[in-house]
Amino acid sequence: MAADQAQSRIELLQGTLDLLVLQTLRWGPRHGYGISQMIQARSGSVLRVDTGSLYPALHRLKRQRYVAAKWGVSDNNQRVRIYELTAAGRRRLEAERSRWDALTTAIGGILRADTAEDSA
Amino acid sequence: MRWPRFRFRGSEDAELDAEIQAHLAMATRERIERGEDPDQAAGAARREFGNVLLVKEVTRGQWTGARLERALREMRGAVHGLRRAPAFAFTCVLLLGLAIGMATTMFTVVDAVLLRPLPVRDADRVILPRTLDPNGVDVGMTQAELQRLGAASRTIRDVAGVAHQGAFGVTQTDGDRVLTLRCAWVTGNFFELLGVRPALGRFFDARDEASMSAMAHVVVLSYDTWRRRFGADSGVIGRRLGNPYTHDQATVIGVAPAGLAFPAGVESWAPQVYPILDAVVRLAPGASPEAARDEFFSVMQEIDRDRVAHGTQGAPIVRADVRTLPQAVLAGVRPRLLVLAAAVAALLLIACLNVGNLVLLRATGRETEMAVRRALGAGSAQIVRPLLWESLALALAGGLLGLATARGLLLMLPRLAPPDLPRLDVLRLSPLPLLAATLATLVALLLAGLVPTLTAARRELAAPLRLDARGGRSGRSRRRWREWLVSSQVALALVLLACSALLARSMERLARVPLGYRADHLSILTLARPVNFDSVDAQMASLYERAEPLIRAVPGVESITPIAADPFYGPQVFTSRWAPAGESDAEARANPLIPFEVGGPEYFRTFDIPLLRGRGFLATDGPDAPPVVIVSRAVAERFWPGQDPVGKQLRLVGDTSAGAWHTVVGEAGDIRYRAIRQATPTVYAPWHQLFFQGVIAIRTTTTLDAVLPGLRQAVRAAVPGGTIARADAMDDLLAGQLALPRLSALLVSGFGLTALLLVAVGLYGVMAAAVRERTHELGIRAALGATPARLRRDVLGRAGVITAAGGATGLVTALATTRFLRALLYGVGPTDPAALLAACGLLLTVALLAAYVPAWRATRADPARALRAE
Repeated sequence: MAADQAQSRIELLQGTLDLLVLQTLRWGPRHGYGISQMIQARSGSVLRVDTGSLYPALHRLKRQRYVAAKWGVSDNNQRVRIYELTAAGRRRLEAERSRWDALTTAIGGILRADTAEDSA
Repeated sequence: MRWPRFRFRGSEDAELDAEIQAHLAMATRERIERGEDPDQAAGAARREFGNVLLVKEVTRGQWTGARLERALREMRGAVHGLRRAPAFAFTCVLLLGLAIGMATTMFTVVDAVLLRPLPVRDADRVILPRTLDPNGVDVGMTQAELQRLGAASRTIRDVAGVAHQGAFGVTQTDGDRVLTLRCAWVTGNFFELLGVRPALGRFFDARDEASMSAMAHVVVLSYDTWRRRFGADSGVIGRRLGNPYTHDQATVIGVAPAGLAFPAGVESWAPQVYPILDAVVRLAPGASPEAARDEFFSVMQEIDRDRVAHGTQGAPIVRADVRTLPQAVLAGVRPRLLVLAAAVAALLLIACLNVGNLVLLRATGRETEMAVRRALGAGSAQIVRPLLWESLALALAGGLLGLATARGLLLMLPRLAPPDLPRLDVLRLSPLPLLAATLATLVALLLAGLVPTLTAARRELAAPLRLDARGGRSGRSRRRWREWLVSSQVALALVLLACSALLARSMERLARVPLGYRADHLSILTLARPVNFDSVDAQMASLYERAEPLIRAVPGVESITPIAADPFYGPQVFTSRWAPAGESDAEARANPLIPFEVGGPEYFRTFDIPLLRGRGFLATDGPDAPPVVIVSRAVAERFWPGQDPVGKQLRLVGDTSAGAWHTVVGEAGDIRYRAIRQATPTVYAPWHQLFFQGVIAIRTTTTLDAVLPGLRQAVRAAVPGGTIARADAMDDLLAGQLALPRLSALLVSGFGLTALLLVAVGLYGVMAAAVRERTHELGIRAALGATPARLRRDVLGRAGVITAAGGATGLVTALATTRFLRALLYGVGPTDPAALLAACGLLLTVALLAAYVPAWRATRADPARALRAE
């Protein structure tokens, strides 16, 4: 049941997390730990990626062939699995991004209308 | 039992492990680089990561093979759970296995015998038209008439003939072995018309055809006979079967495919044209059976007019009927098999309800566990899934045991089944019946056990968790459901018991039916010697005359008489049409065909048939003496109602010669020698004046086996080459006739008793559970002064209500359904009160016995302990 709860959180974050992961990989191939660190750093530590969501997301994206995985060696000689964006993943990222833009514009519009009313 | 741990993605699993380890290692290293204590860094990294197992679990869920793996894991869990409750699992699997096994066997038989198509091309286009006389007896035709029919009819494409009497026991020699094969004499084009392919060798055709005066020289065996009597030896082709009388030989040229059971009971076919034939017709394209029947009848009426013009002795035809080949083949067994299939389906249902009840009881025991899991956030699916898997595991295990049971039963069946059950040679265990039975079981299990658990769990979410929960309230709806399940079982069991009581009573009636003769210590023998057809009558007569004194001298032989034939050929063969004095041939044409028997001076003594009037046969009723007959009571009533038949005269219809008149010298009883279910009117004639083909009856003081060696020696000594081709005790022949009804009665009774046992177990279980759940309440009541008798009465009363409700439903159902048994019943009506009462009484007694133990236990509830419990 705990597994189910975790899964439901993934459901909630799915679109967003996928977008973040794909965007992160656009800057170059990276391993799972690297991806989580990168997202945390770039968001100014606002977003913390739950490993319980990250790895399922990575494996799902791999199954959907948006990312490819291969084994490699990290800077400090650690054997790691490195993910990189595929052509399909690149297209997917573009689509997700425009959807995200549309969403934020729409939500922003609603929120601004609200503030406009308040001030009126 | 160890279950293999399935890993469809073994390497992927290892990779995920490595990936997570790398993640942790890098996180730890970074923490150390930031200056954390190396000892604590690893732990902190792990804490930050979260539940490793959970992450893996969820990640695995993204893989494609994961669902199957989870299913297998849950299945393992279910099996594990069942192993912790061995008594429960054992009972369930045993009940289900036996029920599924029996059901599968029965369905397989039904499938093979009734549903599997005959190995005949377009079997539904093959019809058997026949004409009937005013008494409803079918009238045969000659080969010439058959050919005329074929030429005159437009609805008929082709026509073949089979001997009017059907398959007929013919004694044959195979090397040193003597065997009696029920042989069908058919026209040469028989197989060609049916469009059958031989399983082995070839079939005969029109060129092999022989008339009755010359023996057919080829023979085709049925598949079943080939398997049972010839050991499925493919070298049988070319084997020669001998005729013990003529020493003519017929060569086995082929084996028919399995399932070609036409005519009924056939074991071999020979291309021999019998004088009286029944038509087998293949319809012309587009012609319907009804149109063919009408055309057949009009052609037959023309033929009949010509018969009259030629001075026929045959009966007038008044109507025609038609059956398709499959209908004719299956007519005798269809009702019997359908009843058995219905009975076994009811039994399967009872077993399912019973196991459903057990599942329900088990779920009740786990109600707290489930409530806890639900409270912790488990969804319905997660609550139900283990139960689902458990039911599936039970059904599968039951199915496996059922498979083994069915295999065993199907192996035994051909040995148990009487020869008049057709098409057993196509019996093979096919997956479909087993699958059907197992699936039905699963569905019933889910409905009975899971649905109530689910709904109850949803309604009473927290009830089992309350501290004051006594189980009394929360379990009420479930208890009702359980009682309802048991009640249904009672109803079904009552129907089964009613059916078995009816069949048993009818079997008892049939076995005790007054035969009109005494069967014990009576034996039927077939004597044989080499003869040629020119003087067969004289040779057979001399065989008897020489053998008789020698046989009589064998110690243990009391009396001896020649007879016409073995018993149970049915009332349609060995018959003649008689006219009393004063009736013309034209008037007498509509008289019934009356079976005749022949005998010697000791005939009535040997059979112990009562002579009502006049005398028996005398040694002086020889071939040249004035012809005499003895008539049975029914014949006397038919021709001379209310008068003394002795001294009256009879002649065979068609015989108008001066010497045609037979004087009636005596009146005897009617006998059930041609068929058990029917006492036939009989004309008895002295053997010298009619015929003798070697069949004799003897009454012995000891068993047949004891005298048989002496008899064989006597016949060998009588004439050169004299043998006893066949010897049967009358009791055995009777038992053979009763085998199919007895088997049905036994099977249905077996089903009924099993059902009764299941009901007893079910009722016991439910009452025991109810008492257990109400320990608290019973304790309080005992403390408040309720007497043990009162408590016992309560429990027994509840059981009585359950049984009565089920019994009443069952009785109504039985009254509505037992009429389908009518075809199987003898001397008992389908609503025979004695049978129904006996069924009700038995059920009620067993039910109360089953409820008595829990009732007694209820009175043993110690108030103090009961109140302290929980």
